[in-house]
Amino acid sequence: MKRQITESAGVPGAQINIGKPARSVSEMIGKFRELGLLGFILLLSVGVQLRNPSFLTWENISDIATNTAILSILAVGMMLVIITRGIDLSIGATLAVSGMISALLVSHYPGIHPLLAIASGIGIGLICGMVIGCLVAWVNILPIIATLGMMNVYRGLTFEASGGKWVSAHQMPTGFKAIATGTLFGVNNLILIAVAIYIVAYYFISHTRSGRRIYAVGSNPDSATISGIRSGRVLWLVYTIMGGLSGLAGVLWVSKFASAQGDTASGYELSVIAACVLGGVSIAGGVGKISGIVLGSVLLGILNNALPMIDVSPFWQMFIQGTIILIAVLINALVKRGIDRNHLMRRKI
Amino acid sequence: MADSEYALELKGITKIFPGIKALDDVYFKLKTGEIHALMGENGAGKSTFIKVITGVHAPEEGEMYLNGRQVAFNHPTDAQKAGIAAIYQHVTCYPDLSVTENIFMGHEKIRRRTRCILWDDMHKEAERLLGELGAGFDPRTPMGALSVAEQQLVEIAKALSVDAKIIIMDEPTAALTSNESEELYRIAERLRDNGASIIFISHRFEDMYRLASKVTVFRDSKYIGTWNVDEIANSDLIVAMVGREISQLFPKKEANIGEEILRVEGLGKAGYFADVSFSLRRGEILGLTGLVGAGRTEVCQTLFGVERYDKGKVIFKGKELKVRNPRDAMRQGIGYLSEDRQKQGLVLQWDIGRNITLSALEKFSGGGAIDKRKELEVAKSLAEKVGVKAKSVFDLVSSLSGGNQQKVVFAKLLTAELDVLILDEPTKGVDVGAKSAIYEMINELARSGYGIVLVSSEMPEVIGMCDRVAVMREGRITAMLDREVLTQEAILKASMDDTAPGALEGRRAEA
Repeated sequence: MKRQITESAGVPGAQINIGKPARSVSEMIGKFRELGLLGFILLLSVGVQLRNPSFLTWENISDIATNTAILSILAVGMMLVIITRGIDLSIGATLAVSGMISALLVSHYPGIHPLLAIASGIGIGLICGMVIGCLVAWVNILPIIATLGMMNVYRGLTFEASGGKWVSAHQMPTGFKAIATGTLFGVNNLILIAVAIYIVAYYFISHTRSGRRIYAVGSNPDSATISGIRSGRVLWLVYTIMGGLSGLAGVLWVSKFASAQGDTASGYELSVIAACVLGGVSIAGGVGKISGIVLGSVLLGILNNALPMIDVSPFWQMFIQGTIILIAVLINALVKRGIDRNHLMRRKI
Repeated sequence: MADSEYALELKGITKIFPGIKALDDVYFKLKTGEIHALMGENGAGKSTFIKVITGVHAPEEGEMYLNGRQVAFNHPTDAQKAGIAAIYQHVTCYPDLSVTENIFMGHEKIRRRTRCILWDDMHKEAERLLGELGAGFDPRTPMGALSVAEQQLVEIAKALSVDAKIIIMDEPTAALTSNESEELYRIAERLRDNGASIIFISHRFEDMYRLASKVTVFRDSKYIGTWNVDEIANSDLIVAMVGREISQLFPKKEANIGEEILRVEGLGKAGYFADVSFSLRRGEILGLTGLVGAGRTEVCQTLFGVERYDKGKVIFKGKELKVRNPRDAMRQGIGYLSEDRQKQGLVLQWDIGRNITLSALEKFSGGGAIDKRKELEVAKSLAEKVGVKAKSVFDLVSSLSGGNQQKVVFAKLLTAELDVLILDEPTKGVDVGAKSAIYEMINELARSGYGIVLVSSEMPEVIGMCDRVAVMREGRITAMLDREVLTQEAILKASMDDTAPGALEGRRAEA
């Protein structure tokens, strides 16, 4: 009996001591994930620079940033969706339909102000997002199914609206094309818009109630119900925001490439999801940071830009991108498993 | 404000979930400034009752009064606004968010005009609340990094942050050590002295005697009674909680117990159970009981290869047993009947026959195709053996009653050549008549030489069926009771008491 007591008194203490150092390691990795990603980006850049000195020129860097802007805008919305344990596969199609309709609008009424064109794109995107939000939040269709279905619906609408034809550069007024090509204080508009969105999104998710509730619903839906959070509204909100951002991205895309087509941005949603995963957004919900997804988008952008510059064949480019995404997910999973395990070790029996 | 002696009063509350009455005409009165214990067995309806008070579930019938005024909560926020806060049994936290956020989720402090969250104020307030509770951690730590006791404190801080007048604590001490519990008692008393009324749900008598002035007992979703704590004896309370006399339901016959077939030595899995040892002989029914969450299911799933253990060893038929997965376990001769048969055990849309033979299809296949006739024969004979009541083996399983579904699961197990059967709550959700048929069958199986581990929370079942009973509490075996000393009191004592005299008894039983 006596022996029993001393044993049970000793064991939990010992467990805590075993648990602690390991825990701090996983926690450090968790905390400095962004730093790790940043380190990897810097290393990659230096490596590429050694092979091709024109990589780290001002021009090329600005090129990468411009090309990454649209991806990262979409990643902001996708992060919110994934935080609630959802996914949105329809954004490529939403982007296409809003891009196409605003392109048609400016080609019919060339006098329209570029801002109005942007607003029309966002408006259409918002409507698309609201529909998906309703399906997910209140009709209770799984996000992957709802967005897969709506993806085809919106893609179909795009072809229907354009009659299968392209809207090409000569049909668009210069003002519209200048949205993406213009600059302010020497910085490309796309970059400015993206940065503005990061700032607004950062404020939204860390300093407003609605923003924090997105995390709450994703982190533990049952607790959210008990705390009196209306999960339906939160879900509806994130898909609507995602739609709005896709609409904006649609206008920017069409303006940048000066062409609107039926199959614009087809499959682009996968790159966006990849950027989120690389940036440390957990598919299991509840976790994600703006800084992470910006770095994730930048990493994808650099890979797209750098691999051709050092003469990697296009086939290998995809292979390398895929491998890097898998490694990132693997590290994520290992860190999470380590943290969970250490929490269990701390639990006393 | 209509004043009343009672802070909270519930009359005739009935709550129906599809198929079950979770609460049946229940009464409860909570005086202002008292600590009122609510007790009952697992599944007595306590948790549902809490959720009715906090507005998570709306009751079908009944009235609820706050300070003498009738109220009806349609949403958790209604209850929050009325000053009711609950600390749930399984800590309901957001593991990815900070402690501060966990405390303030749903009622964050915001700047009135910009609706911007005032993080600094919230951190400061959280720090103050935690300091008041004697917690020494930073409110910026993520919740998931805290121990269960620390998370419990955060939950209490949450109740304090809304300035709750009525605080419900649902088994707050279940996961705490005695020192931590003592700390919790002091906090609860201080809250009471500051004018809060507390409903304290617990399985531990110790908690009740230490804290509460009144105790209310629920049993089988019904209200049994309310007593002053100093007026009711321990044994009366147990009778009130358990109620039923052990009837003739259990046709226990003399077992012919053979050689030892399974021995578990010092089995442990970090965070779930530790130091679990027992042995099982052929023809024996070994009970494994304890409160929900004591680690019984985890131990069984470990033996069956669903989970892995990280300490100790298992000796099966004289050799050390290593199972990689359930399939492997079945091949070596261990079968497991899961607690949740609908989720894990049966394909409801299939007919009885196909369900029975599902896990043993290779026996009927020749050259890649299934020998339908042989399959049908085996299915028929097994269905007869366990006594499934249906027109034919082609009836869909979804059309069967709970008891008959359970029999199909048994038949499915019997297609494999097994030596040990682990049955996890085999009569859960089964009506009384079907229960006794299942008991008959289990006895029959034991007599034909199977070693049986029977996991059950139902005390009459454990006492009526088992040759020996291991009682678990918080991940450890606290007592090993032989048939002669098997009483409800002994089991309750071992599954709830803080001190564990079972360690000694266990040795005696094994020697």
